[in-house]
Amino acid sequence: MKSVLVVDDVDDARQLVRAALEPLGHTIVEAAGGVEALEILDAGDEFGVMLLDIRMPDLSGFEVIEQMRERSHLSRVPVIMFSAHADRGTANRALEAGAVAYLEKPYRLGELVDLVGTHAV
Amino acid sequence: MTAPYPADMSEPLAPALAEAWPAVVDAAHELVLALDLDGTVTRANRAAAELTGFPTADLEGRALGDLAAGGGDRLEIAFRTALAGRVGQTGAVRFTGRGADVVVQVRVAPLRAATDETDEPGEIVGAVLCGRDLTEISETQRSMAEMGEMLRRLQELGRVGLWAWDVASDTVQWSAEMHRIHGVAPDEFGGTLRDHLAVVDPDARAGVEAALRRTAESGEPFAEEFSAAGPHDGGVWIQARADLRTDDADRVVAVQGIHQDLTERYAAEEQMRAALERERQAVEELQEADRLKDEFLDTVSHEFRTPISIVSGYAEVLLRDVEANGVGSNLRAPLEAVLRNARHLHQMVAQILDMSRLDAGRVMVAPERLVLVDVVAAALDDADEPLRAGEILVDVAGELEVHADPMAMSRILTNLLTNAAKYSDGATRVEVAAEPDGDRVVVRVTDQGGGIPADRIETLFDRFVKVERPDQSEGFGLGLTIARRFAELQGGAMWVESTESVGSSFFFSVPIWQES
Repeated sequence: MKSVLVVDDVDDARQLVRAALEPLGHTIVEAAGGVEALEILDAGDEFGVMLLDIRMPDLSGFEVIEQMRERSHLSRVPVIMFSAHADRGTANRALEAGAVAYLEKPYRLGELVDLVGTHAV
Repeated sequence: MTAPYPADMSEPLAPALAEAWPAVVDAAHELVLALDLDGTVTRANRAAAELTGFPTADLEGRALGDLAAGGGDRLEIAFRTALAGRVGQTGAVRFTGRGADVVVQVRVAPLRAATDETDEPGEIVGAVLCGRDLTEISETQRSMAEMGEMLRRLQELGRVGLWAWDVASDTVQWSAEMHRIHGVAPDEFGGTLRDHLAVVDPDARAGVEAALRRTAESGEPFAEEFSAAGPHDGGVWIQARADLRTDDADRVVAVQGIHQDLTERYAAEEQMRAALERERQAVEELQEADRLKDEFLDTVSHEFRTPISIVSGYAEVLLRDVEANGVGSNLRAPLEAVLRNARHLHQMVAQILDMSRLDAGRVMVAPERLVLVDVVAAALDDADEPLRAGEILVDVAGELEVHADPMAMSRILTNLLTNAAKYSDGATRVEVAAEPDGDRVVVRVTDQGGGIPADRIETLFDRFVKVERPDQSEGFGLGLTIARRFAELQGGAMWVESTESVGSSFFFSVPIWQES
């Protein structure tokens, strides 16, 4: 099973994903911002799925996914965007930008597990 | 012998004319009386009877002094003058003729006896009085004076001054109102075009002069607006118009025009503009404040959701681990409490944001084809823990499909189910049922709670209204308001039926899915 790349500027939010997914056998790689996430992807590691927060101080999730498209990462790793934005506009925008799914925070544990299980390659 | 005509007439009358003379005198519009030396009327023509108001027969033999209704002493003086050999003239003498006052101007001439020697005047034997009716003339004068006064008032009230520029002589005449408008006394006004233009604001003067000269040369109408000297500091705002006057031979006579003082109107318009501008700014500020509020609420909501998601997420992860490992089962109840409260907090944040967006009209619904029973199942999945503890009865036919917005449906059902759980004890039954009704589906959520007092039902859907229960007071009282607004937004309605101590049923309608 390939690793899961978690991109979120909030440490606790990354730790929560780790705590939720590691017991199910996933390996977690963390990035605390968009720039770090792109560096990790540029390094060539393969990921089964990427969880990408939207509101981050260095690069927004939308900027990250745009960069990923330009650097041809988007075709290699499915992106699930997640965010505490609770409006349909954000969800639609995420899907239009190329995410395979959008997860609203706070999410149910079951939702996270199901989405990662469904989309991980 | 006395002759019935003024004796200073130089040519003797032809005999035929002399014979006809009384008839001629009778035909005259002028009053004619012959008087003897005592001032007694000896002859009177028809006009005399009309103007004095006495019949001709009454007039003859009457004393001159008895005839006038006013100014009789003047008649007397004129008569004495005539007896002294000169022509006496009066100002206005009033008679009471034609049933009204008649004003007559009178001349009295001496009447002399005829003599054969033409260069010797004859002896004065009486006098002839001729009177001209001034009544109509004075009325014409009065109405002209009245019109003049009206014109003056018109200029004053309309703040319009009249002026005329005689191009050939370069003289400019101003009406009284022109002097008042520009605060230039008549004796200060030089009366040339240069003086006329001196009141115009220096910045506009050259333009106004050029336009005036164009009018004088080409006849093009003159219409300018400019600021000008006025009676007070700050001047006046003038709207000027003029055109060319020519005589019958098409020669230029003058440029005639007006200056209308629009200062007051402009001040009022300026005030109006300023008030509108202030209002526009206030609206803009309010809109900006509203936008900032929305932005603030979005941020607050986002900032709350992030920690809530971590609290509820860890509670779920830990509960799962407790289940899986069987260790720390004493933590289950506290973790469930943490999870329940985190979700409640989340719901309250969501309600505030929903209400704010609904108020701002920023909620758009996008109805789509939904299988109703799936929507209900998802809402139950999301429902709070206490609801899960009770018995839930779902009676929704699997084939029922609605044309609804998933997010709106979720908000409606979550609010109704949470309410049902909150206001009934967790252990009682909650029923969700749906029935098609024409082009809609009516969904019903029934609880076995304490019911709603009849006097509260009407205001139940108003915001901040809560049916108080002694043991529970959580929440804002926004849930039902939001649920109804969402129901209405997607083309349905929401209502309630309730019996105290039996329970409540909340209904909402939603358009049924129809293949188009």
